[in-house]
Amino acid sequence: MQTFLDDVAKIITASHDELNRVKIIVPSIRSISFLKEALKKQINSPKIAPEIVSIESFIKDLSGLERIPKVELYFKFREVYIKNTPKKKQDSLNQFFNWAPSLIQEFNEIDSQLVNPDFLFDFMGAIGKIQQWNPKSIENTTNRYSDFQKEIPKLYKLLYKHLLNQQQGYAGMQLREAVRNLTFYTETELPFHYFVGFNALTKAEEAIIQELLATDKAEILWDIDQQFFSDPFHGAGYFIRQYYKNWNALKSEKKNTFPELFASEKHIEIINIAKNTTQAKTAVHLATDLYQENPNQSTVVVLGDESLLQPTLSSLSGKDLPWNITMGYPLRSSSFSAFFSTFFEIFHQERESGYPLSLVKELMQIEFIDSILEQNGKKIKTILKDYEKSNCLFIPNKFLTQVSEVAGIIFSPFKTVPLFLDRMQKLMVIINEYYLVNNEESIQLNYSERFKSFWEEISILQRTRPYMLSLKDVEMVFDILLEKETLDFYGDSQSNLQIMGLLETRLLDFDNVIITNLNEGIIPFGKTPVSSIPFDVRKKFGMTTFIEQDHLYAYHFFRLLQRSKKIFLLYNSSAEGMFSGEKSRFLVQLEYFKSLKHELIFKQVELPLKNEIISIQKGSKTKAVLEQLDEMAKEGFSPSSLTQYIRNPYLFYEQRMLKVKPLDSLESEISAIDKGTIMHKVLEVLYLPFLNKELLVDDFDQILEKLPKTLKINFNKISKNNDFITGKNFIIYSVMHRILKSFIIEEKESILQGDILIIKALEHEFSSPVWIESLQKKIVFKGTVDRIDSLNGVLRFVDYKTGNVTANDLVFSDWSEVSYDPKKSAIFQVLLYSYILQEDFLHHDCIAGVIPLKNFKNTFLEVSKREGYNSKATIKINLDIYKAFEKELFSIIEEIYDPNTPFIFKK
Amino acid sequence: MKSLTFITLLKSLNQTNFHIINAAAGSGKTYTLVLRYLIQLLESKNTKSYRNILALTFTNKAVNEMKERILMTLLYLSNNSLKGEKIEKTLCSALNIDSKELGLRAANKLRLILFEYGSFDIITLDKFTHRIIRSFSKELNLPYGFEVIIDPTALLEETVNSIIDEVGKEKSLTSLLTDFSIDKVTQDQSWNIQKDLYDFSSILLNENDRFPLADLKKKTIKEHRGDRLILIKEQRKAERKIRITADKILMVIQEKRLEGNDFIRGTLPKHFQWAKEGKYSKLYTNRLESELHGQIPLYKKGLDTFKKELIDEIKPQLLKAFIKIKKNVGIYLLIKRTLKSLTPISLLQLMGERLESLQNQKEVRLLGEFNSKISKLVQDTTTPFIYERLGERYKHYFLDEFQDTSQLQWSNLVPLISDSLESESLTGEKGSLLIVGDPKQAIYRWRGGDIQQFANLLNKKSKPFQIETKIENLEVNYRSGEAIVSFNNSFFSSLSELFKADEFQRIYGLGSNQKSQIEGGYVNIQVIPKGGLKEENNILYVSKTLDSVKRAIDANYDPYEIAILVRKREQASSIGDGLIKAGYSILSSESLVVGKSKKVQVVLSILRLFIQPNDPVQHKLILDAFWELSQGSNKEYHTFILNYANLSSDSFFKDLGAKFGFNFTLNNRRYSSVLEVSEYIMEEFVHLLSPSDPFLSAFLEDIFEFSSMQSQMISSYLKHWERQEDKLRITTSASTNAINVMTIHQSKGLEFPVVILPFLDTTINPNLQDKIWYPFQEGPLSTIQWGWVNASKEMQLYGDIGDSLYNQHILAQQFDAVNVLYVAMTRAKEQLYIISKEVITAGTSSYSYLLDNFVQLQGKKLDSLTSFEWGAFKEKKQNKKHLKELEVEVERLQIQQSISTQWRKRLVVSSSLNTQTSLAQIKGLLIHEILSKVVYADMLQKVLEETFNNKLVQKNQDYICNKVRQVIEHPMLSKYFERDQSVFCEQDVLVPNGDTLRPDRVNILNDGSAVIIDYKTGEPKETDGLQVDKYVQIYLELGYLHVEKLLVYINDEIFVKN
Ligand code: SF4
Repeated sequence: MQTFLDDVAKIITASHDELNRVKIIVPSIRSISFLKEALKKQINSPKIAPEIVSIESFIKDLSGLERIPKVELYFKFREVYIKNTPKKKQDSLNQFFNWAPSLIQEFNEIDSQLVNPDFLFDFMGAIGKIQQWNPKSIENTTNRYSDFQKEIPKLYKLLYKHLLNQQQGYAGMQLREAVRNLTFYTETELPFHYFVGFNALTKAEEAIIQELLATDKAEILWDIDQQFFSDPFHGAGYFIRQYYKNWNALKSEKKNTFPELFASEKHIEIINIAKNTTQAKTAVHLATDLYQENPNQSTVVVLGDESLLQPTLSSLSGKDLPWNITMGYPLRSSSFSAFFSTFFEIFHQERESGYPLSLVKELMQIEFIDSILEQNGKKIKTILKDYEKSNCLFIPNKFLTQVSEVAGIIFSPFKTVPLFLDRMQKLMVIINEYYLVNNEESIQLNYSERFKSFWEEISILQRTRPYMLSLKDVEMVFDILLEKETLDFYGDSQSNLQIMGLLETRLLDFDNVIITNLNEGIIPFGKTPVSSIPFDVRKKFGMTTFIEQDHLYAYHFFRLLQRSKKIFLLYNSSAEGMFSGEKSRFLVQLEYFKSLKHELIFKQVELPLKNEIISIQKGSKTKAVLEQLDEMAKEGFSPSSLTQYIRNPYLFYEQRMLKVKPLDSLESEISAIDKGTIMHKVLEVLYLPFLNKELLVDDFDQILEKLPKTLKINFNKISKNNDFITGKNFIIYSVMHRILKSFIIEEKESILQGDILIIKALEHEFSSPVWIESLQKKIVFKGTVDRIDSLNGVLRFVDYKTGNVTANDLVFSDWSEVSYDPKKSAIFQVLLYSYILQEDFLHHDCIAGVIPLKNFKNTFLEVSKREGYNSKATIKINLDIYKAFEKELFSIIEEIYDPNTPFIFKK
Repeated sequence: MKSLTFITLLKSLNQTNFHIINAAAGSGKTYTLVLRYLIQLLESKNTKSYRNILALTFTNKAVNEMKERILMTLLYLSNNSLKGEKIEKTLCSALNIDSKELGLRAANKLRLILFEYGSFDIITLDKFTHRIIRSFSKELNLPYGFEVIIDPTALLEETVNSIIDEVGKEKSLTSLLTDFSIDKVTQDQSWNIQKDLYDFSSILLNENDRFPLADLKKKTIKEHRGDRLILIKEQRKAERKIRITADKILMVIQEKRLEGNDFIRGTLPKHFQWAKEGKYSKLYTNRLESELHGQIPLYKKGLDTFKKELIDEIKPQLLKAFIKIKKNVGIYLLIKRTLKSLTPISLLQLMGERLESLQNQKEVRLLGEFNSKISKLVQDTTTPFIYERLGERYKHYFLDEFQDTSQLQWSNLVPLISDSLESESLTGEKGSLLIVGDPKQAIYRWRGGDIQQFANLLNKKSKPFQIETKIENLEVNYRSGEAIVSFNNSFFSSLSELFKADEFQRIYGLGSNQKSQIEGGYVNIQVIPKGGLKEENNILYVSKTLDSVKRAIDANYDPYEIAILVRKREQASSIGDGLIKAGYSILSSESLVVGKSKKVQVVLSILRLFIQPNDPVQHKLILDAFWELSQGSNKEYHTFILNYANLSSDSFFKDLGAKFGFNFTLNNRRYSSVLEVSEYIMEEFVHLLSPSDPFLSAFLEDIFEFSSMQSQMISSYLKHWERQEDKLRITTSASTNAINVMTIHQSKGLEFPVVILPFLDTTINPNLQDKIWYPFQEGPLSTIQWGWVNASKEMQLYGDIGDSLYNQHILAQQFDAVNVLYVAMTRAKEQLYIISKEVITAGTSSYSYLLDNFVQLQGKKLDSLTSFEWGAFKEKKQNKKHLKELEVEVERLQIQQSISTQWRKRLVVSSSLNTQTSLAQIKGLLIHEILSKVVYADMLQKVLEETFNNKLVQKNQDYICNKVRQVIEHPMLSKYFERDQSVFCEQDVLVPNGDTLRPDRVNILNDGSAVIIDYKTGEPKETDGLQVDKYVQIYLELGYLHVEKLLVYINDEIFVKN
């Protein structure tokens, strides 16, 4: 196809034989190589190339100022600010970064639009005075701000001077200075200048180009369609129309005519897609098809939202197509960025007992960390595993730093900013060297180069301007540095499958165009105020507003369509959450003002949605299951496994038979199970010395005295944290202490009242076989009784319950409840104890029950049977009870063995 | 309110510039808004009139619809299209112009709007506030470029956790929170206070709580401690008063020798006895008060006259004591409730501070805080300034869905609006305001929507502006068939009789009746038998729903024309399951939950294993998925799981991979971010996890969003997932032919030919969790300011304030319930099926009663056997085309997706650094770069300075400087670096359709010959010469007669070769 650059090359070669006497200025570096290729198509013999420069470097040369890097600029501004602000009023670095970047952006605009700063600031000040500030305003936020507002003109000038002295400048400064130097420039002998493909120039650029045009040493070549130019309502032609209206050099020119290509035949599909990544995938899908149809045509995929690059890349798939990516990959999405965020997080979450184990583990997942640690990486992983086994959630840093020098660099705690920066630089050198030696993917080497240079830059900044005081400050500066930075991909610019951002398409033309994210707010950006300079003031001072911004997008968008044949326009139709789902005005324009020869098709991408419930029958009793049950019967069924069966047979199957039990959680908080374990253990330890003797009041005093220490020891064992207790654990610790204390005091009180208590056994383990006739099987039952005691001559089988249990839960009306109702599981449990152990603890008077330890009401609740509406009778364990319970017990076991009853899932 | 036809309505436009339109469901609200907007737009002489109009609504969807309709209408008008005929006439007469002029104006405005679309301000209220906040971010001290967070859950959780974390470190906090926990345990609740604090923290963001919050946030923890003492003191005081009073009166009774059973049921002495003993809970569940007031007898009929007289004698004393006790019991209980929540209340300040600093730290802002921030701004700043910042001076305002606007939103808008409404511009143009809403569709009270606000405007109780209000009713229903309209008219009128409140009358009374436009319509009410367990009722509701679906389908309705609306999500899922089992395809919010997809669960399991390997639970989940997909038999399942589940994760994937043919390992270190890892998983398990699966695709989308906005860490993502696994749904378009299942709230603004409403037995005052702020106003308690109490009957004991707060609450709940019902019942166009539950007695406590009452009023009976019908059941008219204004043929595009993580290998990142680059080469590149800039020797110093200034630090700096200097000073080369010669440094030479060549340096000598100098930093190679020879060749072709070449090797030694 005949592209714009082909036209340009033709014009230039036609009028200049010696190309090295020509200087061509283009909007971006990216287009230089494309223009060279176009020129080569037009020449017959070798030629020394013309000088082709981007406008940015043209301005830089003209201004004599170096562009100052972003963060350095902020730091120099900080310096100016600190020097000129009374100490009391100085914002912290963090606060400073809240407003400084946007203020500098405004300075930048003021300069590039050649606004007289004095006039502007005076004017703004005048509006400020008109406002009636509310004197009673409590927070006085606005007032404080208006004080600061007065300082802005001063800061602007000081910064300008400061930078100028060092022959540095931000973009706007370069432009202002370039305009100042223009006369010197035009007085020298100049090659012929071509300005190619410009649009939306700053006032400074306009001034420079106009001046050069006036000397007849320059020409400007626009890339625009006649339709956009002559339609007064077309955004794409907005700027160029303005130039033709306002520039003397152009006014004199005869009415220019531009090619009329936009109205030519085009196939346009407007495709709506829910959300983002699917757009990327659709775009790749379309481009692949187009390429396979006709490999000689050029196709471009324009990612309206450049963050779609990663999903685009992953859907490029294994197909071997000549993709070329002409855009930057955001460094934020790199593994290095992931590394640093985890890394900083480790320090933020550091405690006295060390770093959080889980984060250290996550850090070790990152590819280069493991690599640079070499063999020591394995060592660290072993250490981490050991630590995990010993139930610790935090790992003291010394265990890690000791391993090797590199580990020391990574894991040393943060002390001061300079030391930290030093470490970071060292770390980056090590990583960088690793990739220089071992590099399968050049992308990783490039990342490491870039991150290395970031840390170098931060270090230098800190050395000269030590404004960073904490790790948080460092992280903030690092984040700002990283923000919007990309890693540029290079490749075959002549390839017929290109992926790029909308801005990169300047000057280029393609047969097929696919654009994603055609939504308001993206293309075009639309109205989003970020400036403190009001709209009206901006208009008055000739600064750009969202209106100009949107016309710029219109230019990029429509220009790209101008010469193409097949066009696919994708937009997000989801109106949820962050998305508006509003399609771009440009799509409406294509539809409403449809050119006759445009074929317009609307499509919608849908993923096939099926309502299907697949589920296999799990938990049926196959031979293997029954065999395993026999194994378990030999091992023994515990009351808890049987109550689990009563509650939910499938869980019994999953956890006891398939042995799929959840692991301990990675949380440092005490769980309900932990809580139970600790309280059981403490009571065991405390009462053990008094086994088989009558408990006296003095004994309880001893127990009470030992309580705090015993609890603490056992708590620390379980809590996986060698720290002193804080947070939730502190609360639960206090609660447990209070509960245990109140329980012990209650027992003491009862002794004072004359009760006689003898503890017979604590945490008593048992295991005993029972023959079940109906199954012809011997089944073992095993378990642990928390406490067996005798109170006033009555033997009690006691279970401590730290969870929910009410008196009602220990009362049943019908025996079947005991084996079927999960709410009565406590009854089942304690009766099973007495069923098995009765013979061991022969006693004529025997009951069973629980001691609730959930709150401060810890009276023994005995198993009893409901007699009437409001009465119940304690179950005394005798032969009848024994038989009745046995029946229930056997029925459960029979059901478990019944091959026709699957393990069902009960909610 | 009198009703007007459209034309008269339009004529009245000029009389005032503040209009309120009360737009009932289906009354063509959007049409009216669009029409009004167009009148404003096309009337104005100012060609950029759209710049002065601001239209605000609630959802993006509404915004998009309104914008589309306006643009489309303008297009029709400018094309003279038939589709715009109706509105054209209306507009012509309203604007008093002919259709030609109208067409011209429309065409002009359409182009202008599309040209300056950013000023076409029809936006959501949220976006508008966001815009204000952004423009004032400096004044509000907000971080530059903050992100907006809609869901506050994560931040609130973090706030609460950060406070709890400090227990054990900070003394007063420690005792405060431990006491709170112990207090809870005493009341037999969980010791865990996390949830209590979390629930409380939402107060910080809830607009309904803003006044108490502002007061309470001012108090320090110490002051709150003081409050606690006051409360306890007052509580004891009340207790004492009760005891003494009870004691005294019991003495009196005793003195009179009266016995308990002298009184009816023995209540009275028992009452005072209980009061004395502090048993307050059942004191007022009897009819004692009426007895004492003499409305019903106090003693038994058979009591002897002497005793009767005795009792009558002391009756005034009894009553006095009764009232005194009641009052104090009220105080006692009120204090008890207040004390219960005092701990979290005293933490509000701290929580507020934490939330603020967390937001700053993360550079995020909660959407929920915007309105209160703006409110502060509006108070502090004069409104014109706010406009100037925003960029536009709006003159005309359109507010949609006013019933859902919160007080704060409205009070923030009032000053902005009044500024233009009450003043005239220089051209004499007046501003205007049009408010549109329907108080009957107010269903967002819980998030700040205030129905009273709209009601007050309608009955002119509140007058926010100095000018007259004009209220208009849209009373024609363009949506539903005649029977549905009349059914709703009578049903809701019957309710307004039932609920006696005036507010009800005003909103639902006769005046709210709609006129129908469309013939037909059918309503059917059925009930399931009374009683029954929840599960059984569920089954009945589902089966009745299926019957109704079948009936509609048999009457030729397509599945997509049917909607089943429910109140709760679990109801949606049981209906959904039932429909799927019966073979229907459905589109339900529940069936779209991403977390329910097995495939998504597999990816999540693997992600969890990355964080905590060897977890058999995750293994089993993966195994189950493999088992299902490989269609394994039940027989082998047990051993299959047993064999694999308890392996270490490493062997698990290895062994499973060997069996199913994949090659996956958790130790693939190439991938570290959650997105990379997930893609890696999907790539390796491609047979199991197709990327074209909508659930997986949505899941990946969520990971993508989360990692680009927040964090790339797997563990952070998993935490994020836990918070939203029930919420995340896939987005589908409505184009599938499936039955819609959704909640009534979601259905707002939609319409369907057939609507089925099962589960309509909800109680009217269901939410016992509701809390109410009690303002302490008198006595020592006034320093407490606010108590936080349960919205229960008990409040009636708290005195007049409590009583009226309670009544307000009940009324609000009734409104909520009836409004929800109204929204549900007005969605139907042709058929409405209602499925409720049988009742025994009359009442108002649930939807079932309301329906039953209505049916009885019609003289009919409603039970499980008899259903009630209104209107005639008809089949759908075939080929009835719904004339949408623009029918766009939408084609469906299905794409095959695949995922591959292999792209990283294929990318070339930069031209200079590639996989072969070594440290030495980096040095070489730099030397090249410097030499290319040193045209003449005297430029060296400057070039070196520039180079190293920019590069900040460079290793090997000295080495490089030395080498460069050695080259320039080299005896064979130095002459080429002298001044006054023509030199090309790295000058490209273009070759027709060939390469671009770039010799390092070319000196053009005075005799017209050229010297080509090429630098090499590696060891000499055979091929080095070839490249230079090519340069020589090209320079000869360029016309230089004599070309010399010099190869300069820059290594330890500088070596020049000819
Ligand atoms: S060696 Fe150091 S001082 Fe000498 S020229 Fe090089 S950079 Fe400058």
